Amino acid sequence: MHGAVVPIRSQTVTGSTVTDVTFTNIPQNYQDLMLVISARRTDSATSSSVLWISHYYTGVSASALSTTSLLADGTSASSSRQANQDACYMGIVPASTATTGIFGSLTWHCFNYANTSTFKSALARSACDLNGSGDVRLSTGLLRGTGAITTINCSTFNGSAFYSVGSTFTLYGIRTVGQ
Amino acid sequence: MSMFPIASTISTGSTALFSFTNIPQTFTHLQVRVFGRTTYTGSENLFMRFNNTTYSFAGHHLNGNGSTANSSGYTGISYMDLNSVPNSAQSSSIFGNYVIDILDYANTNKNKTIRCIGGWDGNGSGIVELTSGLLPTTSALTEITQLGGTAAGGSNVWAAGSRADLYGISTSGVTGA
Repeated sequence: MHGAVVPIRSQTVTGSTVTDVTFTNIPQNYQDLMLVISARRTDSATSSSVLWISHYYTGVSASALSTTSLLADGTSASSSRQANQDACYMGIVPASTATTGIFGSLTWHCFNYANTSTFKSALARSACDLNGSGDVRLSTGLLRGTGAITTINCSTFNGSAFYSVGSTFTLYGIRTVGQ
Repeated sequence: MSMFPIASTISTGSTALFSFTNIPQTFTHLQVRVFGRTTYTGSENLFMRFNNTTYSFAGHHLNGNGSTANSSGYTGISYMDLNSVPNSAQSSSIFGNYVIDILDYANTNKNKTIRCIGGWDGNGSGIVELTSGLLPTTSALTEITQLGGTAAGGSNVWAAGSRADLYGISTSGVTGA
């Protein structure tokens, strides 16, 4: 019996100027994708910053991504939405003023990513706890395009903000019956 | 912990309800992964029934609709109400995603508590939800009798391309990967 969860690729940030972690040439022979992230950013003068995730393929329109999120920050629960974006706002991670050694975690699922007839949607749960601040989120993202997903990019979208050394990004394929 | 595919079902556009029967009792947990939309014109939720038996279900919902967070609960209904599903009012290419975890499904000493995360985004609309459901029986779960939209029946079906995949989760050291 074959296991359903197959590691595809893992990247660990070792340099101090990494703004983008990208998975390209994603194999098309799984049913779903799962991305597991442990990360923080170096944005100055802030305790947390956004974890953006873009799932796309060559030729899809810019600003074709959108997100709906549910979050709780220790005080209240709320919901937010972003439309017509270059990336999905899937969570937050610690940044420069957060205690050293604290990383945020996120598990992201992209269903039926290789089909060519539906828009591509994703689902993520994230946690960023900073011992007195932070939040926990459940988010769903949409790519308005029917092509098969070939690339996933996690960008800081800030040339002077980087992923911290030790941040990890691991992509898995989830196979179904017959795969 | 390892996850293994058990069964898969896909709608060609005429399937009202998915089902999984004769579920192996050899795993520790189950996970159902659903990718779907329905053809119904009204508000639609994902629901489940089990073991070809009528139970009285209870559950809780925590959801976000892009503007506010909302909490609700229910008791005493004949199906487990899990999550909002895109319907015919949304673009025909928008499908929802759902991960449903059923822990200790073969245990005959526990009632079964089921959790679901899921939702859909419509670029300016949509909802994301965290839900629970109580399956009030200590019987082993052997069958997901019905999985579909609450309005399923007649012309209200899973849209073509909708699918549900059932996985077993083992606590053994076998990776199989």
